[in-house]
Amino acid sequence: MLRNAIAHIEAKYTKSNVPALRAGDQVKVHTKIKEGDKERIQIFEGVIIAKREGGPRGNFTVRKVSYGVGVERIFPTHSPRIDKIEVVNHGDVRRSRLFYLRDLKGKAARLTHDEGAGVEAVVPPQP
Amino acid sequence: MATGLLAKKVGMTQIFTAEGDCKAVTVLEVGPCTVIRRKSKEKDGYDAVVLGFGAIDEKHAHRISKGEIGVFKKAGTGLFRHLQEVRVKDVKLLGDLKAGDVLTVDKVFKLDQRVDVTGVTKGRGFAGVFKRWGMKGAARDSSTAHEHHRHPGAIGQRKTPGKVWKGKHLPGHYGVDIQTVQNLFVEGIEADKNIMLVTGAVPGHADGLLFVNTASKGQPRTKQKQVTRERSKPKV
Repeated sequence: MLRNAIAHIEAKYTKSNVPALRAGDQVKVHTKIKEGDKERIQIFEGVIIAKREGGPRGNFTVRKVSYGVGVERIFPTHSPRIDKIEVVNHGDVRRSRLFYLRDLKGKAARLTHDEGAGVEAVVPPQP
Repeated sequence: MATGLLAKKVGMTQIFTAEGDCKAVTVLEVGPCTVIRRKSKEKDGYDAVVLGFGAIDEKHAHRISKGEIGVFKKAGTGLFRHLQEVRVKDVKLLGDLKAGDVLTVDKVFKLDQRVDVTGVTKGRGFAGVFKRWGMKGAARDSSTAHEHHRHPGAIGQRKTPGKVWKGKHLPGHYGVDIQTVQNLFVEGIEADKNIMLVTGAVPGHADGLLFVNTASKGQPRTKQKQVTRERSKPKV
């Protein structure tokens, strides 16, 4: 019964509209930015280079190169500051942590993925 | 109303505030506690209530002593595994509580107040100075004698004083101490499930018994809104 209490609390902070995320995914994270008393949406687009499981407590790291400078942001997966997460495509990667991308520049830092294939088409088959 | 209740630690998780900030919280199962006895200044020398927590059925009644069963019989309540006396500075806080009254979490605590949580810390057994006192030890790689890395180092001076000072930090038994964490913030209360959320960590393992009391250092003052006066226009 005791553990149920935690599940009960976590259920309140869990969002249902979170897509399945993997390392290597190109994502657009729509974040809510508050300026004074106004709120607007800002998009952070990049590659997921790491993901922490943990259900409602999980998070993921998105990396992008902005004006030649690498920028990484860690988002709690179920954060209320995220409006929605869009998966643009799935990169073809062989590890779960893509920290090697930090050392690569320009063309070498690209990931290969099936061109033209829709997001659904690239979802790996369920075992 | 009494100022404190007995509780059980459920575990930790995280929640998001209305602003979207992530906060680490401990989930506590607080109460319900039954008043077993009311102590008064005239009779006992001070004002307090004795609370019972964790009901025991008749089958397990042999686990508590006959003397204790007598206390419950006199109060006319059921049997409880845990007892805790809650002493108050002001008798008005207790109101007209009497034996048999049931206190739930929403009656005693409210949102955004501060509480002290007392419990027994996790046992670490016979621990070294790293874990027990946070010592840094000697260098790992260089300039150390053989296998001296996690040692406490020197423990005294020379012929004067010629002894080791009392209270010197050395290895020994660590944990299983009664410890109080002060000024934890109440993040949420759910009366129907007897759940309370407090910020940060509390002593002991999950399922451990805790005593949650209103903060002894008092409640934070409500923030006063700063009045900003408009600047007078410069005279032309």
